[in-house]
Amino acid sequence: MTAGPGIHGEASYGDSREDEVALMGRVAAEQMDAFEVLYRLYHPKLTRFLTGMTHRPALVEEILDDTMLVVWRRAHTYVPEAKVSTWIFGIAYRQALKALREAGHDASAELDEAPLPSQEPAPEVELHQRDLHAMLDEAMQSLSAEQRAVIELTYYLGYACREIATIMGCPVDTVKTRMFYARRRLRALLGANREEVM
Amino acid sequence: MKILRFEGSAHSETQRLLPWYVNDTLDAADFSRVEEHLAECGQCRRDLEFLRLLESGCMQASPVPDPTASFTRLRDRLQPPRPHASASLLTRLRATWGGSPAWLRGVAAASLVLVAGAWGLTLVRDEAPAMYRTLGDAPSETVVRDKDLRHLVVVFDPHIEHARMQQLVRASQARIVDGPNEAGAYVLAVPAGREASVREALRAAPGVTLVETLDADGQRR
Repeated sequence: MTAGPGIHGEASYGDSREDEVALMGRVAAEQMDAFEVLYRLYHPKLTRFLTGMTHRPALVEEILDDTMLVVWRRAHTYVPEAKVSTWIFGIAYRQALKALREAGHDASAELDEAPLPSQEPAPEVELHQRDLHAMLDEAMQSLSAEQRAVIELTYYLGYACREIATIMGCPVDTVKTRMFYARRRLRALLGANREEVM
Repeated sequence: MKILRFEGSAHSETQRLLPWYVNDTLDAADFSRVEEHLAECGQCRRDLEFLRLLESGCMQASPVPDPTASFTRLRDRLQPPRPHASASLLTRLRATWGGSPAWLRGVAAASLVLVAGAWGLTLVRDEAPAMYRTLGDAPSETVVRDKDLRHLVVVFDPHIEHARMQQLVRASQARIVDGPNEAGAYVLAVPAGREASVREALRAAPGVTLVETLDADGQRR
């Protein structure tokens, strides 16, 4: 059973896309045991995606619960032509935007044209001596939630651009634009050590 | 956000595709195009290195939480513990809803339909309204005839906080015009043009158990 297209960094869950579609059919029939299987399948991926997208750990559990509640209630509306994972991550994305709005955070803050940070090299610090993940995590905070979502969907969950557009409910060019600005900003932020890494 | 158009030269085309070249999701034609340009463009090769670094940073495993506790909590929201004998009709319906056989859920649904239907009939006949009413609302008989309004029967989760309930109603640009009745259901008046979107939004909202449209003739749909 798959929980994403390429799920980078972790083993996939097993059998096939057809299994997930069948599982959704059982969830639509309100079989709680099937819902539990689906929940356990997606919980790690959703936790990671929502943490990466929102950067607000306190909100993640609530958004995840709301997402799976919608999955339970709306399972009968799922159309098997779409991937189950695309459908579920689309719900999670919208729930996250909603939660961020309610919490007073502007998920789509226009960071595109914001001044880039100074690219003066920081002395005595080399990228490979630091925890890349921690550095990246810090740099990601400067992105909008939508830009972080594109990064997570591309590089953690391994989605194609077109699938990301489906999940985010926007044109493909919008996904590419978000990625363009996100990587430009990340590159500038991590650029203190750019000579070593780029 | 200004949407960028990524058309034109092989360089800009490669810049557009590079993030998904890295995660290996390009189709064969785009893959070949990128490979060809990379062979002759130093800037794109440097960008490629950066994107691979970004990918390796993103792929690092995160701690995997145990979903057992959170699933149990969510399941209890869907299937609350069985209530005492004195519990309301609504609570009893909710308790039996999730885990019961389909035929039993059908019976429960039919009961709720009857409750809401009878209520709608009451509104239309100008009879005395439900025994519980909200404070300060206009008489429902007046409101139900307003052609610019539609009415929704809404049942909230019994555990929902009052502030959250008010927030949901405000966000829907709705007004509570009646309720709660004995089943815990409210009637919300919403602008006619927003009926469908409000209904769907409330159905998707946490803390809302049931949302149905109530026509002026008292029929649910």
